[in-house]
Amino acid sequence: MTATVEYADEEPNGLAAIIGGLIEANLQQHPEREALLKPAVVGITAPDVGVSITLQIAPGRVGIANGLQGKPHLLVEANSDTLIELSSVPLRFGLPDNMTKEGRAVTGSLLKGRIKVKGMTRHTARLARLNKLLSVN
Amino acid sequence: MALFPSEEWLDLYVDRINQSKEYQEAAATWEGDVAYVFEAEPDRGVPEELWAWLDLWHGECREGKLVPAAEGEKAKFIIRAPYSRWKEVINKELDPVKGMMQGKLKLKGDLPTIVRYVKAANELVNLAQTVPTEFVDEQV
Repeated sequence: MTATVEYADEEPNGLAAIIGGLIEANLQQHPEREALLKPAVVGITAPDVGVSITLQIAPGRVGIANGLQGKPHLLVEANSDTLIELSSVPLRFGLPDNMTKEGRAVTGSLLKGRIKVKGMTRHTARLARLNKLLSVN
Repeated sequence: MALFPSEEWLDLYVDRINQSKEYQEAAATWEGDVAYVFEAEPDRGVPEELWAWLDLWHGECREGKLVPAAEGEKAKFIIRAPYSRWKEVINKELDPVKGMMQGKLKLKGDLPTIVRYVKAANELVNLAQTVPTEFVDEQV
C-alpha cells in the first residue's frame, strides 16, 4: 500500500479511528482500491452519539479530521449501528445491491430518512467510490 | 454471583458463551482470540490493569483466562477501556458500538473483520450482561 491515512487531530474521535482503520485495512488488503482515491470531501455524522468526521480524499491520501469542516460534496448522516452496517452491505456498481436483503434494507432506510446522504444525486460517482472504499466485502 | 473483574467471572462468562446458540450461529466462521483490557482505577478497587483473554474459534470459546499484558497484547483483537466503562457496558448503560464511536472503548485489530462480525460481537456483549455480577467497587 502506498496510500496514506492521516489524522488531522492529535486525538482522533472514535468514529475517525473506526473509519480510518477500516480504510487503512481495506487499502492494505485490496491495493487496487487505491484507484478509488479521487478528490472528494465527505462528512459523516452519527447524531445518536454526537460524533462527526470529515474525510479529505485525494490520490494517494485520505485525511481524517474530527467534526464537520468546510463544504463537503457528500454528507452522510445515520445512527452509529447503521453506519457500521453500511460497510458490510453488498454493493452493485458501488451502490447498495437491491437484489440482496441487506441492500434492500439500506434502500428502505434511505427512503425512510434513517440514512440521509446530502449530495447523493449530484455526486453519485463519489458516493459509489466511497462505498467501495469502506466496503468489507 | 461472581466478582467483576475476576477469574471466576470469566469462567461464568465462558460458560455463557458456550451455551449460546445465537453466538454459535453469528460466529460460526470466526477465528481469532480477543483480549479485553480493564484499565486500572485504584479508587474503584482495580489497582492495576487486568487482561482477560478469550480464545474464540468457530462459535466456541475454547478458553478464557486472565493473562499478563505481554501475553494479552498478542491477541488478534483488543478492546480497551477503564474499569468503570466496562461496568457501564455490563449494566447495559453503554452500548458498545456507540462507546467505540465515542472513543470510550478503544478497539485494536482488523476493522473489516470486526465489521463483518458485528452481530457476533454484540452477542458477546449481551452474554456478558447475563452473568450474575457483583462489581468490585460495590463489594459489601
